[in-house]
Amino acid sequence: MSGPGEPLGGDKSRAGRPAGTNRVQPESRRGARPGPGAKPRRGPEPPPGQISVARVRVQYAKRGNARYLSHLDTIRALGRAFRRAQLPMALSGGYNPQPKVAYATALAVGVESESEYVDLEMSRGLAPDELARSLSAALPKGLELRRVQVVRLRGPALQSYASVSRYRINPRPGAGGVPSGLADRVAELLASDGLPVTRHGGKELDIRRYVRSLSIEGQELVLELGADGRGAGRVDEILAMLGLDLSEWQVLKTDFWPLAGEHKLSVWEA
Amino acid sequence: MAVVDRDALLPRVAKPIRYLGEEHNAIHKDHAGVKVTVALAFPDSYEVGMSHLGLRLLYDVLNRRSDCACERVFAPWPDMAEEMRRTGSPLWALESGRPVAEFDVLGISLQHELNFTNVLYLLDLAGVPLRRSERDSRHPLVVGGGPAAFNPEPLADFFDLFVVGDGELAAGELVDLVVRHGRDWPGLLAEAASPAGPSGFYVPEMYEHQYAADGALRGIIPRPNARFPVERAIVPDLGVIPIPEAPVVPFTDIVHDRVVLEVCRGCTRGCRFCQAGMIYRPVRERPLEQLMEMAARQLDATGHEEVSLASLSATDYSRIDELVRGLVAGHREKGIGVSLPSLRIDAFSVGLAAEIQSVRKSGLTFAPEAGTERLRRVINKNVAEEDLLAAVSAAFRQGWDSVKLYFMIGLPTETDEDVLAIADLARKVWGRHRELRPQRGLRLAVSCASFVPKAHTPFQWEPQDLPAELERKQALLRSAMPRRIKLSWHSVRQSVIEAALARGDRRLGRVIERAYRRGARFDAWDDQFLYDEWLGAFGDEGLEPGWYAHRRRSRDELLPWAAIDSGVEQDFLWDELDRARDGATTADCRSGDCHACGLCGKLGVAPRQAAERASGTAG
Repeated sequence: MSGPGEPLGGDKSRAGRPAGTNRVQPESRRGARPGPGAKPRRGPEPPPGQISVARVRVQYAKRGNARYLSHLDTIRALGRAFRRAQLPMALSGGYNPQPKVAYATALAVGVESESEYVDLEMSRGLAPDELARSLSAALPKGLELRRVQVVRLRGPALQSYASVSRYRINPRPGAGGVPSGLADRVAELLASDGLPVTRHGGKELDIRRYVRSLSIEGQELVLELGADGRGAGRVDEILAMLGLDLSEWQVLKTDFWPLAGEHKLSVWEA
Repeated sequence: MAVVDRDALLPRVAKPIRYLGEEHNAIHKDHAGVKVTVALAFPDSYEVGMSHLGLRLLYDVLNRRSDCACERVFAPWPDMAEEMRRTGSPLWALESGRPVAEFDVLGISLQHELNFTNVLYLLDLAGVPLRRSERDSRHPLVVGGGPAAFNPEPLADFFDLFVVGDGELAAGELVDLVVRHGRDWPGLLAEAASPAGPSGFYVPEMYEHQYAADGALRGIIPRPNARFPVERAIVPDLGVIPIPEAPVVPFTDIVHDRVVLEVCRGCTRGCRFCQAGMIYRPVRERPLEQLMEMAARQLDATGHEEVSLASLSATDYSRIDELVRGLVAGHREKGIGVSLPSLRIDAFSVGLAAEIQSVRKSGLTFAPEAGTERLRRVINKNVAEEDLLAAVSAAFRQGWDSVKLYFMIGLPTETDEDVLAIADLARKVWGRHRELRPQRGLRLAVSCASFVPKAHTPFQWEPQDLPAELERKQALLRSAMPRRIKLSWHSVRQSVIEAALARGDRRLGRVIERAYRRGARFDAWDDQFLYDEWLGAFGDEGLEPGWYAHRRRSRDELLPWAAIDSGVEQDFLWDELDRARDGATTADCRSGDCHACGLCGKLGVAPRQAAERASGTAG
């Protein structure tokens, strides 16, 4: 109903941009009290009844067409599912109170996963299986709940760890099998001492050190990619380096481990 | 044909999720279990189309019927169109992934003229012949609706049928016709065009347009048994139309990503430039109780964090205070915000905004439309300078430091003094802020659209300023506006093409097709618009955009949209134009002061206000 008096599609510039309004910011590690550099919070404190009393860790899967969700789309979709499930979310203060939510890692578009994690702070205690029941019913197609467990309220965020993710990569049905010569390309990639990539915005990065292992097991490629505070390897970049087209391969992230030094921790004990 | 293989395409395009229909609350029906399939298309991107309330309403209304499956279609972004052409994949409907060409009905929403080439883009990608003369019963019935259907002539070659006016009841009447006639399109169209057919149904092939040697329209000859004129479809009481209970929740970030409640339809303020203010009369408010209940249900069903109250002038809703307080009180605990798209220019509205912004604080938007009181009287936007200054002062006292002001350039009778007054007004707003909040900075944005005369308004006979004149006025304003105030405008070139199409005749169908063949689509997007190709397309047909855009019409000229009756009398519009030239204002008719626009008597409707309804006096 745009009359001639209104600017035509006045808001349209927003639509062309990549989703920029990240309503639920992945939070950085939160300590028990603000450090010396912490910014004073603008606006009111969170309303009573909405402060954190418990933290739960949720494992979910991203299957089928949900693989086409970007990380921001996923955050938005889950945030809305939390509301539909009427979970007692703890809110931040300020003029624009936000649920306290922290995601472990971002998943590349086009990749499925059995091993995604998000921590939720709750304003009242809630039995994990009760939470699981409400949340399962509220999730959109393709996002599936795998496990819910209470974790320490002031424990470290998963995002604060260096980590490793394992991917299993299979040819899609009808797309042909593993191409001949792939073994050579894998060996070549592992033998190289540098794997330079250019990221969005022109930033250049060597991702060789993030490739922890890469092997062919039968018809399947198995890849372990690392991430740390400085950067992360991306599975779509590795596929491109191997000359593989993401549309012809099913990529499934099967596992995620936080690291203590070189030691893989369980997500539930981190 | 089977479902389109989307997996071959999606990994190669930006934001692939917008081409799938698996959002929460999307409705999937088995086509074998229904009698009629409707592809409901919006000729712009998913992000723009999904923000459109009319589409949400029609999707809901059609899918409530057990004999009908309605699915959504949006214009694929050019990267996707290229992949589709490369792989020979036809346009699909989101929910089933089936080709659009297989549906019984292809309904296309027509919001404004800069979407017209995208209509052809959709048909072309769907593999449906563009012209109705090249289609038959193997193809979908192509139906258009929306405000741009009030002058359907530039698109008359491409559509089988236009639904003019409110769509909620008309959509059901169309499905009934398809159930009755099956794919016998000629039989269906004959019934739709007949005097016994549903109101608002305009069948362009039933009307022959004849032109004089000088290019003027000489006559419109209806076929025997075709109605003339076609009265617009109207829903007299919005309260009886159900509101969607569970709207689709987009995955991706769309333009208006929230629960949107239409609090009323129609606006009786009578701004003389405003097409919506004329073609949606009379004002029809929804009952307060219905709005409160539907807000709660939609929030529960979607998980949205904001409710927006939509209408041409939401603060005019007669129980707005109760509604806003009720929504805020009912949902504050959950951190849910309430928003009003733009504010009436008075302290009451600012007070209301302060109420709702207790949860969220963002900028305020006002639309004075013109810089001087004289020119505001001409356009019947009856706001005194002191009203605006009082409103922004109230906003500054409430703690706002961000204000947006909307104006138009090129309005009838405008002089340089009127243009320069926009800068004066902005400066005065700035001054008020400095007085009231000296410690804080102000973000002040002024946006100027170029005036586009539209059909069915008092200014439908008026010329648009020449492009050079609009550009000169923009430069004049630029030079007078302090740099600290952000000044923006819409492209003059886009406004010229919009103006030519808005009052265009049937001959422009060939121009639109040529423009499309020359590469024009997504014309409303600054970075996609191809002005030179449009000029070339006009030139190829020996037509001038200026003849349509910049020419003054006389009272006795036959207007191309004469077959469409909005309900508002031409004599009323002409009288309003006279009053505009005299600087005489016309009061809002909701006060009970009827100005005889002719509508209520003819269409058998009356203004409906929620406040009257509550006290039991609704007519």
